[in-house]
Amino acid sequence: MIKDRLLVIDDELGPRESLRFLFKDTYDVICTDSVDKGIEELKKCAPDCIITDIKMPKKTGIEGLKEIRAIDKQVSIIMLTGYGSLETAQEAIRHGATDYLKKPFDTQEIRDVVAGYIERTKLNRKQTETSRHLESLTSELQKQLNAKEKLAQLGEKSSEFVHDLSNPLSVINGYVHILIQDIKDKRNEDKEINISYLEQIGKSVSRCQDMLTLWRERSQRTSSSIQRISLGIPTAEVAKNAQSLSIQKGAVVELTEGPKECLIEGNEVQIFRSIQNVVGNALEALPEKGGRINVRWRIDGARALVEVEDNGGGFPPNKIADLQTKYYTTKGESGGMGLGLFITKNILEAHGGSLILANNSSGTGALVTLAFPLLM
Amino acid sequence: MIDQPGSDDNGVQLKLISRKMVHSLNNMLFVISSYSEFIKETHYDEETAENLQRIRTATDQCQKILLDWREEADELIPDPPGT
Repeated sequence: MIKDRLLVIDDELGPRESLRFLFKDTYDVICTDSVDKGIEELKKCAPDCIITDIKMPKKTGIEGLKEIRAIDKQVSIIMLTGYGSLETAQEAIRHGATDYLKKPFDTQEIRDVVAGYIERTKLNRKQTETSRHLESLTSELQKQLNAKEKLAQLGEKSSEFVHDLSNPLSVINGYVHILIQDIKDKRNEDKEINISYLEQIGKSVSRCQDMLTLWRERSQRTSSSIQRISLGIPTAEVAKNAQSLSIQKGAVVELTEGPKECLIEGNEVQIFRSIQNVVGNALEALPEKGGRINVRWRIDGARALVEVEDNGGGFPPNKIADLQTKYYTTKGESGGMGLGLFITKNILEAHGGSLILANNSSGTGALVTLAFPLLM
Repeated sequence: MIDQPGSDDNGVQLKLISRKMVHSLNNMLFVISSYSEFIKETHYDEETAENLQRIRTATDQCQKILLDWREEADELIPDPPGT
């Protein structure tokens, strides 16, 4: 077993050796006859307690005390004085001594004092080590929080970026359509080739938009934050947005409200997007006249459901499985890359839910269900 | 507790993907600009030229947004060493 270490600094052989004799069975005792040698030992062996005389030639115990404290702030230092003056003792305490004892010392008293201070040193060291560890954990935590904060900022900036970029892309798309119509109406020998150029432009814009969709999905997944969401809020918001769009198509979007306490846990933006994707698809599928969509939310056992029902003809029964796979689209050349339902399915699965595609009971259209685990 | 893959890694990964995306988007915008130029060469009328100019303006705007985004991402998440 490793013994605790006691360093004795005293220029007088008598007291030095008596201390060695007194403590040699209990501690690993190192004796030196000067402050400088004591400092060397301190650096080498990191003692748990130091007993030092005050009055010594060359360097006094008080001077030694200052040097010791500069090296080791935790070690207990007991000053020995033959004078026993209050003034010397006060000076020693002021410079970091733990205690002082008068010479000649009482053996039992010094045994008890040294034992107590050795424990104190160990406690001090443990405390310092724990504080350091705590500081390093705090600093690491702070670093991680900063990184998270930066990531959240990146996510926010990314959303702004996607939004900003989508606007001019829509403008390009709009003018491409105008130009195609315009060029078709005009006489020009290069008409066909120009239309094909414009179609290339249109395809490029569409690819840019698809790339942004993929990016948005990726960046939101990375910087997502989980929170408690009342499913009615995003559902009602999507339905409201769809209502304004449906007017242009002469269609109707109804919202059937469900229970207010329909709580789920997840990323608000992604949940919003998943509902928006499904409602967006329903809008595209509507017939030219008499289009109708019903958006509703409800609780079904342990699940919170958003249901989107339309009268747009429904899914081809043999294609329902393909519709949830990446890049499968029913929209043909003019449409997207077939990412909408794939992304929606991924969002739902990431939230522990599922996407259910079916046709409605009247056979007039589709019934898409977004099922999330209900937060009890 | 502190040795988990940090959010920093996510940030850096995200930024590198962003850089690739910006590169691809720039290529697409170059394609759009080039085709617009081809059409301009064969259609001299004012209305077509004006519409093409609007496409050009929107394309420039896209490029400016891409540039700004790249700067913002660089500012928030510095490049890892050796990239």
